[in-house]
Amino acid sequence: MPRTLAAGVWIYQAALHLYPPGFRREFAGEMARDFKEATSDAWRAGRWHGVFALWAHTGADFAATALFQWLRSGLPGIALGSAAFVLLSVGATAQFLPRGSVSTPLTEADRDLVTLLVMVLVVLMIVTAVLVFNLWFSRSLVRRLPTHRRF
Amino acid sequence: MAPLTPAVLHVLLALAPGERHGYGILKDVLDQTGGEVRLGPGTLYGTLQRLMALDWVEETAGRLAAADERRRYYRLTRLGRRSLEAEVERMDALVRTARTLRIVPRGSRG
Repeated sequence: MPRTLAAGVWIYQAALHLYPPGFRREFAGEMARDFKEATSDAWRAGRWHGVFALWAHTGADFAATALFQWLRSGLPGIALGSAAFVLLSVGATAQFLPRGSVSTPLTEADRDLVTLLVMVLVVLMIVTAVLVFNLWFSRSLVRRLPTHRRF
Repeated sequence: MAPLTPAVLHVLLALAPGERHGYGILKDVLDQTGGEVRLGPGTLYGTLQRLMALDWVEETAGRLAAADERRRYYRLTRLGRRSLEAEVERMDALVRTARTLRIVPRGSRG
């Protein structure tokens, strides 16, 4: 198997950690093994075309089912956790940001500080985006759920 | 009983001949549908989780001594088979109704 395929399998195995703990404990091993085998089969059958088709399909499946599993396992927990993280990050940034200490031209220490601030901002943006997306998506999903579960 | 979702129906059909491991189910579904339906791992194991909670499917230790002993195998329970039969019966009745209305598959039109 080419190294890129092995890297893809490794990334998928790492991504499986994003499923809720209960589901991950029960099925992540099997899912990783299935994906590895499916990637090998796709490579034998259709080389890169087959592999990319499989990865695209598995990626979409992963995004949908990970979210669904979190919804089943308690989305309010994630939403509250994300909100707490955002608040803590904002609070910590406000607390430790040395006011008025950045002078121009930038010194080496200032550059490090600016880099750190940019990184904190990026993380905050990502967390906020995830939080907003989760809340928005869960609300629209709950509205569409039927009154009885379909099987 | 409410109609089964396509994923549940395909998984139950794949397990109808006997026990399968997860990847075997995925390949069977692909074969049974002529490559039209490809279940993702998340969909498959989420479905299996629900079906095991309903006691329609159970894990079996039947092939633990087989080539890959880390594989987990699944099979239909009696309740699962009865549910599958009920669904097939429902679909059969639906098809008969469609035929009485002269709605036939495109492939069998003269």
